[in-house]
Amino acid sequence: MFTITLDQLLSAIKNINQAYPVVMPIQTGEGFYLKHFPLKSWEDHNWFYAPIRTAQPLKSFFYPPQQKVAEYPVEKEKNLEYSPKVIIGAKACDVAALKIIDKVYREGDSPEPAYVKAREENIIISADCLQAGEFCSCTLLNHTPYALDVFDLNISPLNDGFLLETGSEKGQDFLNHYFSGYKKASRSQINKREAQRQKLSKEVRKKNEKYQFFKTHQSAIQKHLHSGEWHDLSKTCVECGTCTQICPTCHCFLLYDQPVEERFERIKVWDSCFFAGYSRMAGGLTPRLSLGERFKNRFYHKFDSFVTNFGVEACTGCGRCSEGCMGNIDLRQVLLELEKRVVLKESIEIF
Amino acid sequence: MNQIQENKSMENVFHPLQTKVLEVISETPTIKTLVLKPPREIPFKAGQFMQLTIAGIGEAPFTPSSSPYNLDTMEITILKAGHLTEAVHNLKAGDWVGLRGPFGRGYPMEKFAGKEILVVGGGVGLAPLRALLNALFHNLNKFKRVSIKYGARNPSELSFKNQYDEWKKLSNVDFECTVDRATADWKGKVGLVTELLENTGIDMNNAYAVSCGPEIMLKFVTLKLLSVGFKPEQIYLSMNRKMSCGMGICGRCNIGPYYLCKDGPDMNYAKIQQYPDVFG
Repeated sequence: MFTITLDQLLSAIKNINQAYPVVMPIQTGEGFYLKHFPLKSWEDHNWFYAPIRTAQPLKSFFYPPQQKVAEYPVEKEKNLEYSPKVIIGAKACDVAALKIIDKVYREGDSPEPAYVKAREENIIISADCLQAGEFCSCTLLNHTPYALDVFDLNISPLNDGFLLETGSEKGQDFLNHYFSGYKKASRSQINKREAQRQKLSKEVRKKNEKYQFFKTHQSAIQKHLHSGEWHDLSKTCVECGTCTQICPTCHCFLLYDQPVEERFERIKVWDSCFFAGYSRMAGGLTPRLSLGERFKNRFYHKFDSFVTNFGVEACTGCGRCSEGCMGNIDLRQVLLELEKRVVLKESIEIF
Repeated sequence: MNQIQENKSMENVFHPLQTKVLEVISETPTIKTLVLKPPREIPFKAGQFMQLTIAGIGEAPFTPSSSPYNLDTMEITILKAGHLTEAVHNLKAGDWVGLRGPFGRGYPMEKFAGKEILVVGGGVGLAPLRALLNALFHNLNKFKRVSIKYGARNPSELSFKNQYDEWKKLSNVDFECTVDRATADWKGKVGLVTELLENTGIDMNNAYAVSCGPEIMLKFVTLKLLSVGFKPEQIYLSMNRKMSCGMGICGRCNIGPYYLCKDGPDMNYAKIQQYPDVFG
C-alpha cells in the first residue's frame, strides 16, 4: 500500500490520459455522472471525487447499449478491435457487478468476445465510497462500500492525501509507469483507512436497518414461485425498463440485423425482461404474458436462479433501480415484503 | 467462400455462415423444407438446433429435420408463423441464408439405447423429431422399438407424408397419425394426438417418451403420458422459447434456472415440472 498527494494523483491522471481515454465521475447539480474524457483532454479542474456511485452504472464501458458484433455475409473488418479505457473512481458496487457479469459473459462455455476483450483491456482504478446515499444498500446485499477485488488500483482518501492499493499485476505496472512520488504507507495510515471503511459500512447498515432480512432471498422467492403476490408488488410498475437499464448486473441483450450498403450488420442491443416483447415468439405466444410474471422473473433471476447457477446473487445493492423507479418500487421493500408474506403464508398454513 | 473468410466466421460466434439454398420443398400449405448446402459440414446431434439468418431480417432458432448422419446437406422444416418465417417461405433455390450453431445439448441417445422410444409429434413439431427419427433409424437394432404418434390439425397439414410408408416398413417401428378435423377424403383417425397414447402396449419400465409440438399440445401430451404411467423422468419435451444468442447469455429463454438454448431445447420433464411457466 502506498500514499500519494492530491497533486501527485492529478499529474498521474494527466499522464494516464496522454495514453488512454479516461472515464471519471463529474458532478452536475446534485447528481454524479460518469464522463468519458478522450485522449489528452483531461484537465486538473475536471478532478472530482464522488462520495457515492454515479447515476449510471459502469457496464456501458464493458458492453455498450448498442454494439455491432458481426457483419455478413462477409466480414469486412475485424470487429474485435478495442480501444482500452481507464476508469477512475469506480465504486465497489459497480466493480463487484463486473465479477457477477463475468460468470455469464466471461467464465461460461460461450464467452462474449467483446466483453472479454473490454474486461481484459480496461483498467479499473476504484475509489472508496465516503457517504451512504439514500438508496445505497451494499451491506444489505453482503457487499461493501469499498472494492475488495477486481480492481487494478484502488484509491482511498485520507486527510492528507490518498492511499493507493494495487489489486493486480496490471495495476502494479500502471503505478510504476504513470505515478510518481508515491511512498510506502505507514501502519497508522492503513489503520486509518480501515477505521474509515468500517465507519461507513456501519452507516450503510444503519440506513438499511429496517430492511434487514432474516431468511435468504432465494428461500423467500421459492415460496412465491406460484403465488399471486407479484401482481400486487408490481402494481405501480409502468414497464419503463429503467431498473434493468441502470442495473450494473443486468446483461440481457437482443441481436438484431440491419442492411448497410451491400452488406448486413448484426447489432447487440440491451434488452429488458420487463418488456412484453422480450420473450414473445412468432405467432404471439408470450411465456410471461402478465407484468406480474415478468416482475417475478427479474427477482427470480437475480436472487434465485443466479444463485442456483453461479452461487451468488446478481445484485450488489447499488440501489439504482429503487432510485430510478417511476413507480417508487424499492427493491429492498420488495424483498422484505416477500419474506413477510412467506411468514404470513406459513402461519396461515399452520392454522 | 475462401479459407480465410471461413476461419474468420469461426472466430466470431455471432457471424452466420453463408449457406446456399439448394431446394425449397412445400410440405403443406403452411410448412416448407429448406434443403441447404453448407460450405462445410456442420456436425450436429439429433435435437440440437441452428440459428437461421435471413439477410437483413434477423435470426430464429430451428432444429434441422435431416439426419445427423448425412451432413452433405442440411434440411430445416419451417412453419409460416411470423415475420421471419414468412421471409423463409419466400426463399427460392439459389438464394442464401446464414447458419450459426449447432446449439443445445441434443437428445441423450445413450440413455435411449435398449429402450422403447415413443415419439409424439404435433404439426410442424414432427420436423425436429425427424432428426431424432433419422438418428434412431440409423442404428435401429440398438433400440427395442420406435413408436411414432403424430397429430395435425387437418389432413393437409400432415408433414412428410411420403415417408410414412417407409417408416412403417422398418422393423420394430410403428407409425400412427390422426387429424383434429377430417376432410371428406380422409380415411384415417380423427381426434387429438393424445388419444393415440392410450393403448400403446409400451413397457412403461423400459421406455422414454419424446414430444415436440405447440406448447398447449405438449401440456396435454405430458398429462396423458403421466396418466398412462410414464414417470416425469421418462418424458423429454422439446421446449421452445424466443432465443437470440443460442449460448445461454442473452437471458430470455429460461425455464427456472435452465436456459433452453444451452440446457435444452429438449428438457427432461422431471427437471422443469416445478416451474410455473413451463407451459406458457
